Amino acid sequence: MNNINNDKQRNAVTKKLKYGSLSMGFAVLVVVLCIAVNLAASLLSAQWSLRVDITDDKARFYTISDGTKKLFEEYFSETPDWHITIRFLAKEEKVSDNMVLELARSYQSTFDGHIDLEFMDINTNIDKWEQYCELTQIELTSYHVLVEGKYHTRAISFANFYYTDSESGETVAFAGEKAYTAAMIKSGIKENPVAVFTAGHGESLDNGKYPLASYVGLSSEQLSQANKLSLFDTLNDMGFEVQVLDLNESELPESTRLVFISDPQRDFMDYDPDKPDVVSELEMLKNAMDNYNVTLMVSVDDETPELENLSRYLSLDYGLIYHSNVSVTDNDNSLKGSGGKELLGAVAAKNSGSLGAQIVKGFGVDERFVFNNAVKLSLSTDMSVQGEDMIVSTYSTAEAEGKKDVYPLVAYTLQANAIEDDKGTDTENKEYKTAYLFGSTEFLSSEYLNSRFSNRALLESILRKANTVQEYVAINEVYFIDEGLDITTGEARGWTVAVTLVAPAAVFAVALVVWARRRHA
Amino acid sequence: MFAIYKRELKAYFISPIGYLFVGNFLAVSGLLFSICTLQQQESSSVSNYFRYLIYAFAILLPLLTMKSLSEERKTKSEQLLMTSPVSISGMIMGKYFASLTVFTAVLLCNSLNFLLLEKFGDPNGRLIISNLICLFFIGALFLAVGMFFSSLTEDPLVSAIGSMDAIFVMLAVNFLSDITIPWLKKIVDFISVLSRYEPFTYGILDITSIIYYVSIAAVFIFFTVRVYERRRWA
Repeated sequence: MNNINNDKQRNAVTKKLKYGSLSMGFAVLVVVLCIAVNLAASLLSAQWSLRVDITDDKARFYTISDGTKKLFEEYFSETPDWHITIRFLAKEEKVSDNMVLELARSYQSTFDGHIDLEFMDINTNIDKWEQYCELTQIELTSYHVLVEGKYHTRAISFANFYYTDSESGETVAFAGEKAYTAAMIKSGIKENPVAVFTAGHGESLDNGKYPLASYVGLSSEQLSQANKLSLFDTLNDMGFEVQVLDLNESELPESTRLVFISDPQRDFMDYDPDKPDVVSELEMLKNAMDNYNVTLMVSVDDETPELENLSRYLSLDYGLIYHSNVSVTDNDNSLKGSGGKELLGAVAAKNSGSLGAQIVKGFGVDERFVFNNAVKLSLSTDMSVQGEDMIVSTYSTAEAEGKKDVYPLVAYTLQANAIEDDKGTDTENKEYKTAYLFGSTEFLSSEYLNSRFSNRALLESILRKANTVQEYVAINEVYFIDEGLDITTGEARGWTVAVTLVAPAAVFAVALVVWARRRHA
Repeated sequence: MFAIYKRELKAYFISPIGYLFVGNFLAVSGLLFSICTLQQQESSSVSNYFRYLIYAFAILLPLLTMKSLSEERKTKSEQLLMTSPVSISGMIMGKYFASLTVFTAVLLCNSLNFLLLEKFGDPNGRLIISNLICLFFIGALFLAVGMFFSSLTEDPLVSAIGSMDAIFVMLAVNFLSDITIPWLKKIVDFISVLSRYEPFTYGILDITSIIYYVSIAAVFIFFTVRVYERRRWA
């Protein structure tokens, strides 16, 4: 009996040991196997790519849009010898930006025979390099590409092919087609329209970041090099020569098609009866507006002082009024954390056939624009001014002087100038003069122009409709990763409640029912 | 195994535990989604949302697995399972796949939130899909960890806390990735759950990472089976 019990005990111990040691052995083996599999996978990955890029859509960066194709085909049919050379300033294998190079190749293959691609090593062609520097007025490096057309040679820095987020400094988009097509258009046009930014009155861009006085006298190319200002870039892209002029010192060129007054701090000179021979700044502006088909754009904000002469000119001639120091805020339709100051605007022009309606024709009803430090604008009811209207306005939740209302944010006036014939009598032909008043100087800041809001689209549309741009193709930049949302603070609040509470509450309600039923079952 | 799977799946929804998990998951995930995207408006970041969701998994997923084995032990129904004509690995796998199914279903339901990004922006759908794929594998790994801890104890609370701790340790390894000793950094990157996740944030399906998640999950499932094997023969 004792022997049987001893045998049973021995067997149990042996079994336990056996299974115990097997378990341990197995465990160690599996762990080792796991490490081995992962090491093998890593080694294989180093040799063959074990990665699948499911966002591999790089072709979109090099695809040339239908707009560019259509425009260039028109050129070819009108001018069969229309020809462009894209010249890199390095050997082909040394070009440091592959995206810029690939896109150039794409242009060459798409417009075969009309666009050529060439490479010139500037280290071994010093004479040529000096010639090109002279021609473009830029200290060229291998980080530039030249676009040579019939009339001009344009130099584009590789950096200008990209958009950068002004806050983070990260490169967010590739604007290659925009840069190339604009340069090709400009190099083929004999005389480009001029966009003049006034200086001498404390004007600045980007909410005071860039005082315009420091840019007086620089060429368009030098301006685009001086600072990465998106407004200058956009105008360049649209075929303008950008100049910054002090109207007390220089006259407006005859080819001026756009005058931009950005956040002036001091007043403009008007006609002075004591100096009848001196043509004042505002007289010069009026003359250009009446005779050169110039578009005037003025931007002000809630800190722009009351400027007697300029305000009178805008009010009497165009019916556009800004109420100095009267801020417009909106707590419901604004960007987070701005205290209602970075407010959102929506399309306001509705009368079909009006200039405003034409400008926003392609815009959706949910299109939004962002403004900062907006000032209250209003439109004169004076019958002598006709054709004034607004393009963008606030939502009805906006507030100024303690009153909630819809306030204009971008207003304009379109007036017809009768053209006189040789005998000095009015003809039926008319030219139009247009003035725009922006209720925020930051509306056209780099930050907002490069944002997901429609500020840039509105600027481009205004310039197209203002008849200042001969030929322009709307080309969109291609974003690498675009995560920004066009959502108001109010909407964000509402949807937060919906996604955080509604669905879970429904599930918890079902849980409650299940629990109750089980309890009473 | 399929019978266990069906029974387990049903069990999640005849008791409140399944609903509580789903409700909590949707609430936490919805809140993170709102904070990282809707509330950020222009500077919305869906990548941040996914990253935070992984940390939320450390708390949420153990809730799903905490009772799956410990409860059987507590109610003594474990003996029935161990003597039933189903292998232990079949039983564990059945329970594991049931929890994985519930997790996947919630993850998919939760993905409806991305329609809001589509409504208010222009999200990169492929990037979201690659992140979701990785989240699925990370979830599968954490569930396996949860199963293992559930097999060690008969108290669901202890099981849940143990799993959370283990998952937090796995995630915390990533904080060592800033160390400057090259060989140590290599090891940390090799074993870090979050380092392995990095390629997916750029829309790259990294097969080695998937192998890593699946193999580690398999190890924990194997350990769970061994725990039961030992208990059966003890």
